[in-house]
Formats: sequence, structure tokens, C-alpha cells
Amino acid sequence: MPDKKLAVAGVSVSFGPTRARVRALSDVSISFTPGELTLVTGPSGSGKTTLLSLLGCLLTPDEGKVYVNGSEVSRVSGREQTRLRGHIGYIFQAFRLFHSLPALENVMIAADIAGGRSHCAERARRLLVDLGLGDKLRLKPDELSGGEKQRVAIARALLSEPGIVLADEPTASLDFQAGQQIREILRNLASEQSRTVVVVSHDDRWKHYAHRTVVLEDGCIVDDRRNTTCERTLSAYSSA
Amino acid sequence: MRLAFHNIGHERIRVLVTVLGITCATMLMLVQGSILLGFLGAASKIIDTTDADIWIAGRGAPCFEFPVSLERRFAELAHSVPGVGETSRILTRIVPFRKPDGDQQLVTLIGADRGVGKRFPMPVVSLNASAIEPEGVLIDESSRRILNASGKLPLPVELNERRANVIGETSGFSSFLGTPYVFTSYQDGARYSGLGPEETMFILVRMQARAKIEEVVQGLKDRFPSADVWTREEFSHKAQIYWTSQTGAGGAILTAALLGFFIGLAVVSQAVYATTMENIEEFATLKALGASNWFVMRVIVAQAVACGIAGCLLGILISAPVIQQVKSVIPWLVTPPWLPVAMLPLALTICTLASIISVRAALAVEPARVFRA
Repeated sequence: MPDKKLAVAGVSVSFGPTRARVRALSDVSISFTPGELTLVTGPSGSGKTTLLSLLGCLLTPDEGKVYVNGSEVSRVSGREQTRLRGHIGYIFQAFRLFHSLPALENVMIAADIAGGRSHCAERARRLLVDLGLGDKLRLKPDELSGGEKQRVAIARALLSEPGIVLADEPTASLDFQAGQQIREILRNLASEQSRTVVVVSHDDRWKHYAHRTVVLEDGCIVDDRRNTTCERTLSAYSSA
Repeated sequence: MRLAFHNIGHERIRVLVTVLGITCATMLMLVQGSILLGFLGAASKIIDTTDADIWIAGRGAPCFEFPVSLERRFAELAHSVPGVGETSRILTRIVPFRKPDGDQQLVTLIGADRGVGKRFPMPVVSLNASAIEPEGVLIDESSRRILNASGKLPLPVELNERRANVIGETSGFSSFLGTPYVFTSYQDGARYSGLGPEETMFILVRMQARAKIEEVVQGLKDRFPSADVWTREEFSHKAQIYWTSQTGAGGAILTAALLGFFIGLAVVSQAVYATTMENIEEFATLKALGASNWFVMRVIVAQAVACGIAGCLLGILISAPVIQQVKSVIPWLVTPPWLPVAMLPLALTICTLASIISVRAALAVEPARVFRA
């Protein structure tokens, strides 16, 4: 395993009762590089979200090893796994914002969890302003559009300055314009801020923004290629 | 904790249900607690009002209201026991009271010697506090209406078909038996109740200075093996136990208070659980974002406790006029200042217990579910 910052080695995961057990991942090994946006794609049921759950320390594999921030997840305590999760930025298809909290507080919740609220207030505000939500700090999720909600979720994911950002279908609920904004933001996180960004999506438009594309089928990696023409394709795509 | 307080502000209807549940539980517990404390106080009120150190009663008397007669000479014989200072007698019997309008009502007649205590109601002559008014009786102000004794004093009445005069009123001596207390001197009491000249009902002993109560009690027990001898505190406690546990009255009141506790628990549990399950995805998100179990637990418990404090304060506020109303029907009801204060830990206990199921559900949620749309 070349890089243990974020990687899985020989992992297998099965779900369901013994007689009707379904294998979601089968002996998968892959590592992710800082500064790259990796797109994980494939048909439904191919194991994309399961892989993301493993990388996010939200699931334990039946076999194999998961490395996050240099630690082998199965070897650390439950409390340490909880701490590791605090160092990962998560972005979800359903946004997962707290319905009673205004946008700024939704971002600050990450600081509440980490126990450093007082130091993060200005940073949370700055993130929302940078993401174009400077005039919507006090609005609750019900008062925001889908794209705005996802940008709040991105700000929340970035508050703790995580080296790893995991995104599950982050544009599936958004229109084209909002989706494109999110794609650009996540790509810039990788390119300009050297973060490890893993995006799971069915959406082919992500291929133009990804540095690397991994294809999963039936729980196995069937294709893993770097997009050497990414920059060129991207500029052509953007101008189209 | 901001999430907890924002949730409270956001889910107003459900929070209102929770707060009202606690309010009702607090009211029920406070009113029933006041009734129970009042009942305990009323059950031993006569005993506690005396200055006696020791009570001698006929064997088997469970409380003041159900006496067993004693030989009158025991009052003199008691002086032979070392440490005994003064003795006095007290009697009680339920007798008919003929009202000024001719109507009749049963009353609990209490006749006592002057020596039973300075706080004990005694029908003294108004110009000479050391002289007892012959045929004079006192009634409690709470029974003025039932005895139809609101006219000008002295008011001629009949006790057990003998002439008596209501010459004054006491306060704080409302009976919990439904038969109003009527106080008179021991001699008149014996006459009204038809007590034999060689009989009495209770002998009260005041000890000499520096006498040890255990030794005097033991001396009296040895001297009167056919009688029961208690310290005043023991007899008071015995009477309270009798009325609360053996008659079932206290049990009924206590059950109602417990019912208040459990109704509150059920209402709050249901409301807190429904809120938690409705927001279960948010708890999964918290866990996925790295929140510890302690953090998740604090969010749920803080919501419940905030509702508990609000509901409890509201319950105490509403209970004050309610208790005043109940007091007009149950005059012996007592609400000591510490009782409303004690409602707060009870309400918080309800809320904390009510949160347990919700906390378990929130902690059991799989954080990986956040990736499902």
C-alpha cells in the first residue's frame, strides 16, 4: 500500500442474513492521493457507498484493512474512530443539515462537536461568505435552495480543515447550475488546497472534474485510470 | 447545547405537549403531596400540640382518636416512678352536638386538664386566663359553618344532651375525620362523654428536669404493665402510621401522587421519544461528524430537562391557586415551602428517566445511514 493517508487493503464487506448474504465489496484495495479528486462510479449496488462508508470510519469491513490518517481503523478504539471521523469532511446527497439551526450554526456544529466553538466562529462565517452565502447566514435549511444547502454542508465539512473530504452523490439533488458550482468547489479543494477528495457519483459530468476515475462493479474495481486530459476537457466543458 | 435549544424553539407544539405533561405531573404531585403532608400533620395534631414528654394509654390504642380507657388512679400512681414531674389527663369521644337551630351533628369531643400544654385549646374565662369557663367549649373556625355556630358568642348548644356554650374559636384544628373537634375542660369533657369517675383515656406525663426519658418510660412500663407507654414522638409517629398505612388513606393519597409521577413520565417519554425518532437522521449525522455518545446524550437530555424546568415552574405557579381552592374543602392541607422546591428534582428525574429510551435509540443509530438518500 503506497500511501496510508487514505486507503483500503483487501477489504470485503457483506450484508444481510447468513442465507441471503450479499457481498458489497470483494477484496478491494485502493489508496487515494492528496491533491486529487477521485471519482468513484459504477452501477447501483456496485459497492460505491460501502467503500465510502469504510473510508469514513462509519463501517467495519469483514476482512481487510482500512487506513485513515495513517491509522489502521480496526486497530484503534471506538473512541479513537469517533475522533478520526472528526478529521474527515463529509458531504451527503441529502445534505444532512440540522433543520432547527440557521446556516451559520449548521457549520458551527462541527466546532461544537470538536469542542472548539470559540475559535471557529469567524472561520465559519468566512467559509460561508467564500461559498457565496454571506447574506444567508441566519437562514434555516428550509429557507435555502438545494445548491445553497449543499454549500452550507460543504462549509460544515471544511470547518475543521480536514485533509480528507468524502462526498456521496453531492450533486444528485441539484439542478445543472448548482451542480456545476459544487463540482468546481470540490475540484478546487483538491487542486488548490491539496486535500484528498473522494466523490461517489453516477453523474458522468464529474469525469470532467476528476483527476482519477475508479469504476466499481459487483463489489470489485474494474477500472482505475487517471484523467490526464482533465484540465483540457474541463476548460472545453466549461466553455461549452 | 445550542442544537438542543434550537430544537426546542423549532418544535414548539411537541415541546408544549412535553411542558404541559410535566405541568400536570407537577400539579398532581404538589396537590397530593400537600394532602399527604396535611393528613400526616392532622393525624397527630392533637398529640403534637401537647407539651407532654410521655403518653400513657390503654393497651391497644392505635391513635388519639380511638382510645382505650385507663384507670384514673394511674395518674396519681405515676408519681411513684422516679423522674415523673406533672401528670394530666385527656379524653376524647364522639358525641352528638345539637346546633343552635336544633339540627344535630356528631363531633369529636376533647377534654383536657390545663397541664397538657400552653398551646392546647382551652375554654378559659376571657378576663382571667387561668380560670376555666364552666360548660364552655371551643370549636375550630373551619367547622363554624357545619356546626351552624356563626352567631354571637357565647352560643348555647347541647353536647350529648347536656348544656354547653360555645365561647370561642381555635384555628388550625380542623378534623380529618369529618367530625369537628370540640375542646373543653377535662371535667366538662368527662361529663359530656359520660366517662366513669374511675376512668380516663390518656395520662400525659411531664418529666422532672434532668430526668432521662428512656428510664422514665421504662419505669412507667414496669409500673403499668397493662397500659401502653410512649414518648410523645413515638405516639405521634404511631398515629401517623396508623392513619396512613393501616386505614389505607395515606396509601391512596401516595398512589395518586405516584400516579402523577408516572403519568408525567409516560407523557414526556412519549414526546421525547417521538421527537428523537423524527430526528434520528440528525443523530446519525452527529455521529458521522464525530460526535461522541456523550454529546448525543447531552442534546436529548438537555431538551428534556429544559422542558422539565419550564413545566415544573408552570406547574408550581398554577398549583398555588389550585391548592388555595382545595384548602377550602380540605382545611388541613399543608404546603410547606420546601414542597414546591422538591418538585424540581422530581420533574428533572421524570425528564431524565423519560430520555433513557430516546438516548438508547439515538446511540444505537448506525452513522453509515447518513449516506442513504
